Amino acid sequence: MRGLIIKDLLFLKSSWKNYLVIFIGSLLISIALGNYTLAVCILPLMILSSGINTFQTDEFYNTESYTLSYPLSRNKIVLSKYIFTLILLLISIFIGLIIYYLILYIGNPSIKALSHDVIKELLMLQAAALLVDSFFYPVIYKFGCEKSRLVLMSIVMGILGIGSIISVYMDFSKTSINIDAIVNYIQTNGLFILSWAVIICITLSYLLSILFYKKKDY
Amino acid sequence: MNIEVINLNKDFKDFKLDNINIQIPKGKIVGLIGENGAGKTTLLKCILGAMYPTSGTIKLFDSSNKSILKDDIGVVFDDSFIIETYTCIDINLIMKNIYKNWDSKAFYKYLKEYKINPRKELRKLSTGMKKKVEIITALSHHPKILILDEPTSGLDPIIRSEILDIFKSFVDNGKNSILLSTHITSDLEHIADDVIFISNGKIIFDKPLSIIKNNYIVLELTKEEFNNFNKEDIVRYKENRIDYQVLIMEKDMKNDYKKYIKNITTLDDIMLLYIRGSICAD
Repeated sequence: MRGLIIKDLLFLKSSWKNYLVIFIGSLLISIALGNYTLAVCILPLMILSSGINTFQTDEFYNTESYTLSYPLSRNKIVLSKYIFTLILLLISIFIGLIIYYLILYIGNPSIKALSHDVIKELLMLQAAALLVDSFFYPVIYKFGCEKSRLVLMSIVMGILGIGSIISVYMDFSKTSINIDAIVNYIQTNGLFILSWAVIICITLSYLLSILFYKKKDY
Repeated sequence: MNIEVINLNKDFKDFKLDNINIQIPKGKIVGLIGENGAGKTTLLKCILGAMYPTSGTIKLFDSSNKSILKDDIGVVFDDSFIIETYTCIDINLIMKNIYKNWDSKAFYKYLKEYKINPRKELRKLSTGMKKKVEIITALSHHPKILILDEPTSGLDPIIRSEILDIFKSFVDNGKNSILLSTHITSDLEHIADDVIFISNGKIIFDKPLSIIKNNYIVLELTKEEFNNFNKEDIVRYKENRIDYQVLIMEKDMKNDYKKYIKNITTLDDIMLLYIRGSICAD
């Protein structure tokens, strides 16, 4: 299993030029805007999204059948992908913190726009990205990368459609639901809620991925 | 027995592997031949666990627990390997963390022997070089079985000959074996002990190469000779523009075939006549 994690980590190595370009771009935009949130958050977010990219690369180079010839059970092959994603999470947060402190202390000590909220935003973004991953992975195991895009687009369109219908036919001012209170609660406890949501979703996602992967022919 | 496949069936919407029974004994090279889409790769993938059979049993080293035993299997697929942006150094790093018996020294020795730069990305290597890396990777964890799907395609005759020598020496210890699927049947004629011919998901024959070579004969007959030929002796025939190609089995012959033109019979001829040829109506 360690070999598969190393295989996916090596994929990061091959993408370092892309990451450098993204970081420089986000830094330049941040300087222009005078807000460094983008510079701190975008590169970690891109690194975390590499988890999905490894699926695409495996599919592009058609490595799946070969992977199944390794002396590893299908459960371990799936587990390696989730462990890799968690390693990506650690790497991306670490890099985000390095960028934060570099900007704060070395780059320009007079920057005021960089508050501690940036770290909170970074963590919330990473948690949200993990939620997306936890949704994507089982769908990819079930349908493959190409089809999963269509499936996910259909789901998103469906959710947006239902949301639109609700917003048209439901007048929230007449209900007992206090939207402001909900928004306030999320703003205050967002990271806590997201952390629990991530733990639950990743666990469910892993179990679903195993279920799908175990049945699939390559 | 290193591999035993018993009553294997695999159903698809428009194709099925139909009741496959094969055995790969220790110390033997077994060739798997057949047209594109005959079911060769499906059979290999079922053996390796990349596909699930609809029914049937697959035994590796007389056991059904595949994941433990895969340490002893080296694989070359026709269309599936490592991500091509990786180098051989990356492959070594990955494989030594996958296979218990991975031998880095042997891996680098092979690379040196075949003049492959370990720092070069796979996508920058020629087709032949890439195939060599796949074969080297399959050999470097000292497997007991090699399962090879088109291992010599894209290689020039000299390299092919070198690779075939490696395969021959691999089975020399009498314990290892090779299951080799290929379109280059001339390779099999040099190294195979047994040949399994599969067509449209069914096994047409599974015989020692020596018996195939000694028993099957392809004759070229004129139309008149064909009309006078005893049809009971004909296994398959194919009508060409000016003559007939006729496949016969020597042991079943009632005619004196020696008076007819006899070509050197190749596996390609036999395969072609079985697939494209006709059976004589009574």
